[in-house]
Amino acid sequence: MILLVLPDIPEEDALLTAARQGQEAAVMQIYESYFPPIYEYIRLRVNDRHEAEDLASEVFLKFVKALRGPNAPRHSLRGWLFKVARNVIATHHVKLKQQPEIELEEWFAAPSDQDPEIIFLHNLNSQTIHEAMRRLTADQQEVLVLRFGQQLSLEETADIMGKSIGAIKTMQFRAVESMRRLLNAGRKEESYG
Amino acid sequence: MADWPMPEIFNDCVERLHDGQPIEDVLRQYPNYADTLRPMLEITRGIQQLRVPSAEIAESQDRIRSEVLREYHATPSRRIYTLPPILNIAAALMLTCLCIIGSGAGLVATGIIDLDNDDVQFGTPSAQPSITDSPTATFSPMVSGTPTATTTASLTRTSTSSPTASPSRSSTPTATTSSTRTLTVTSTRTASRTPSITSSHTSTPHATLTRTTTPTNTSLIPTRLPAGSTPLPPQNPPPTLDDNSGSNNDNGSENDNDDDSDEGDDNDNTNSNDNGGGEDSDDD
Repeated sequence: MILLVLPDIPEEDALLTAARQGQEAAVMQIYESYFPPIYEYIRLRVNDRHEAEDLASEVFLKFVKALRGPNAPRHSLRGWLFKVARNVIATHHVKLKQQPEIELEEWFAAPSDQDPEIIFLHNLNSQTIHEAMRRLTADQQEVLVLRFGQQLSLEETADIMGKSIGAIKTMQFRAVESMRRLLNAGRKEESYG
Repeated sequence: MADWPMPEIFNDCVERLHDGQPIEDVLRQYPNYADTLRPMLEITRGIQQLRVPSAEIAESQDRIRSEVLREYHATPSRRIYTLPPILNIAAALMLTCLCIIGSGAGLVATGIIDLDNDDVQFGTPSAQPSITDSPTATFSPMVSGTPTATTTASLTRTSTSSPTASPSRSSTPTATTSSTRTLTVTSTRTASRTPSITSSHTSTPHATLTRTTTPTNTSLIPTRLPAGSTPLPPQNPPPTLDDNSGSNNDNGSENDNDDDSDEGDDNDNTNSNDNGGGEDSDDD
């Protein structure tokens, strides 16, 4: 099992305040801390690696610019960054006018030294999981990535997606249930085939 | 908890997984739903395992870092300066004083406040007297003791009957008089407590002096008489109305019949000079 270290909110706010006051070290610390999850989130929703890189770059350039303007984030930096990333991805998809596709071969299960059996199980199923995810709606994919991939809280996910907490609960349940049906159907096809 | 709807139960399980509980422990909380929940929780755990290769992330991060730094240095850093609270208060007081002084200067500059005159004039400098024909009143001089209007009405009064002024509670004296002529009133200035006289041609033997107040400065209109108080008798003969009403001239100088309203001495107003405007109105 992977445990994500969630950010310490007061520390995050202090860092953000320092960044807004023009401390370069704080800005770069934010970049170093938040680039991986933001990039990963984008990468999961965008087909091409270079496009994902461009979009991640756009997110952090917007952040640096926003620090100098009135719309600078004051709280919940992580949520702010994910929200910007979400908008950037949406704009990208509008430009492409297509649903995001995922190149499954570029994904693999994260290495874990805790349980070899789990490593084996998830290595085996990662492609299948991705195939099932690709069949979900964009919102369902997003809620799964944010809630389970990035382990954001309900509140953060609701804020980023612009929905209520109740809607997120329902959406994540339906998304996983849909994946379950798809996986079962795939399993049956395999066994029959 | 068992009565919760499935989305709630599932979310609770997810939260427990986030907290680090093993799936078996989580499922023990909901034994009735374990069969449904187990594959769903396995799927969520599978999604959690999906990661982008760390080498890819590191490469991208290195490439973009220089862009971010370039952007950061491209524009001057904006520092947030905050004043200590005491300076904030002082600054607020200073601004308030400046606003007051500025507005006062503006009032003087625009002539709304005449520093040479004791009377404070409020409102717009041009007040038009309204001439209304009332079917019952022959002559209804309308004394607009409005603080907003400073209208000078010079009128020639030729009334034959002795007036009985009955100021109403709203400081509106009612004068009964018989007038035979038409009064033309012209106002060139803003009249505060200056009468605007309304006359009609009918020959009903009473004219009503009405004090009209404009709504903008209502707070400044003194209440002249309490309810139920008896009106004061007029001390002066009623105004005689003249056609020619050189009246129109009211060059402001003459106005100030301010007192009118109040104490029934309205009649003097014609000749303007505030008959102790001070006394009248305000004291009531």
